[in-house]
Amino acid sequence: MSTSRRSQTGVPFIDRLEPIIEWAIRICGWSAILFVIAIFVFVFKEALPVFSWLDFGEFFTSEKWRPNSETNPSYGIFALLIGTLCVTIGSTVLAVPLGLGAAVYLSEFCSSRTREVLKVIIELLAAIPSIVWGFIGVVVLGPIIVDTSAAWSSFGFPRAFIGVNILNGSIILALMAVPVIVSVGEDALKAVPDSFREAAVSLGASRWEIVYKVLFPAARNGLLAAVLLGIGRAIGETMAVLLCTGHSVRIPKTVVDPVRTMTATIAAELGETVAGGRHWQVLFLIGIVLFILTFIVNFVADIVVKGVRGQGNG
Amino acid sequence: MSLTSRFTVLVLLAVTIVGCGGDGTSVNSDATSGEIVCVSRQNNSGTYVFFKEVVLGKEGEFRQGTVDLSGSKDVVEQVSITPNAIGYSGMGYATEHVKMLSLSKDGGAAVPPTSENASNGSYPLARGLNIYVVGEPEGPLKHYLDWIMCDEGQAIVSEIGYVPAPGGGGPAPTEAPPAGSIKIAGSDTMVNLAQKWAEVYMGKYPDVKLEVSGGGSGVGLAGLQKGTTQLANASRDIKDKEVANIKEAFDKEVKGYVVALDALAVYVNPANPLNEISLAELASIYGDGGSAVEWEQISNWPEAAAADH
Repeated sequence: MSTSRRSQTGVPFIDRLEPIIEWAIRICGWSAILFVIAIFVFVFKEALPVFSWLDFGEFFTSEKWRPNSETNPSYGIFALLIGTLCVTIGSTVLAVPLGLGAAVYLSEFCSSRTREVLKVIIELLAAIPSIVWGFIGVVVLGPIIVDTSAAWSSFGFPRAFIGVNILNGSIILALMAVPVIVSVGEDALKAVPDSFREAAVSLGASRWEIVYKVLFPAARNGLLAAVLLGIGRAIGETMAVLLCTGHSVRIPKTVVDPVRTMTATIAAELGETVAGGRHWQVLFLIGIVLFILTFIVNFVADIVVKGVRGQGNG
Repeated sequence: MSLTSRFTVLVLLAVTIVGCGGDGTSVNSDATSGEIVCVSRQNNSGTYVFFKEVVLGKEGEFRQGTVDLSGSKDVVEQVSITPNAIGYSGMGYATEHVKMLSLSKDGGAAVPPTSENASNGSYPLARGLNIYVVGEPEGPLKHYLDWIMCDEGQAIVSEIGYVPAPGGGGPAPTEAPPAGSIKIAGSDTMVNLAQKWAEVYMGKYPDVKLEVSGGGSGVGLAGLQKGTTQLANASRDIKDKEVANIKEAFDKEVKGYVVALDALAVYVNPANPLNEISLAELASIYGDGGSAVEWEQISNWPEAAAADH
């Protein structure tokens, strides 16, 4: 407001504009809720007829996904659920240590010049389109996995018969999630007041102890948010997963078996289905299942964050 | 906090242990042996439907666990980098990095997928490549279809690697087409052919705009039913249900044209010692409940034959 006072006109233009801007911003805020409801209503409406004919026991427990077989169609998403779960867990296990490690290094250990360079490069990593990641997974990573697993099979590593599999998809997804985890995680660590670090140093803590016993507990919520954003990316990612996981409906036995995820199934099959048909309805139902999964992840995160807060206060 | 990090370590350890739980046999990655990797197609693909009907039978189903790729070209590429893979795709996608198997049917002699065997029908997986339109074609659509069937259009068929259609050939249409645009979608087997056709045709007749996309025969025929596509490429025959849907939506009959022939080729990696396979064995590899899971189970597997003697 200091600029408008300095302008010395009767009623500053910006002041007259203010209510309008306020309303515009308010609409922006509320529109998010509107969009979520609209999307949910649309997806639910398309899937609604399913409830009159689908056997839900079979839907969740059968591993037979044959949506457009003319003689004996079956709609079982068990294998697809397992596929999504495997790839999500795999990428989380790879991405979280790597991402949090990088965040700790950036925030606590490296010089400011190194940090600037690294941050630019990590942000560049986030800018790579998912289709390019998929391409890298198929053409570069796939053959490497086949060769390496064959060479290591004498040490007990399962042999990969095909390069596109859970491991491939997990590595690619982890690389896609790491930039998110690093930037959000680093912000969380940076937000911890320096007085915490100074107090720890004055008590004789080593640098590792500062990170482990002071920063991690203090930045818990932010770090959790970073991890969950990373997991969210892994669950929802479609294009790279479609290419890198092999798109094979099966219950995997090893980490180098191909699988198929729910997102990839929707992406690959929706274009071909006749709008309103059974196959179409079931694909929308899978969309709802994905919706519910992300809700659960968010809900659990909320509870965990609140629990952590409660502990901190008590 | 220490609990959380101990948990992380545990998870990492568990993953390492699970990862090491393989069968522990040492194998050379370059040779074909052990598990057969069945490369198949997405279920919107006409090639998928054709293969299913001819190899697995009307009532047959694919086994679960096939690697379903979305493009004809993807199949050939995946087979070329996977020693244990077997896949099927149009003969127009053959490269020097894959090997085509000869096919035998009902104990007959194995027939290689060549142009000759596709046109005389001796190759078991010979099929027509179709174009479907709604109602009697007119205007630019009719002109384009006439041009496809003329000498020039059919020469492109051979150039891409397919077989000219029976009854094709003849001079190009003499008149220029009326201006217009045609949306073309469908078969991935035919997409390289359709693109080449469109490129040459639009070079000759710039007044007609052709938009070619792939997606699979199912996508093209779904587009015809929705009215978003004027011309559907299909590497399978149209289904009765699809004909009925179009009749209901537009009150017009579907017109179909066989514009080229294809020998649907069965591809393996060059490292694979096999040169021929029977339809029955293909069914045991791809079919639901099929017996062949490992390459060594194929009856004329060269290593097994050598061990017998």
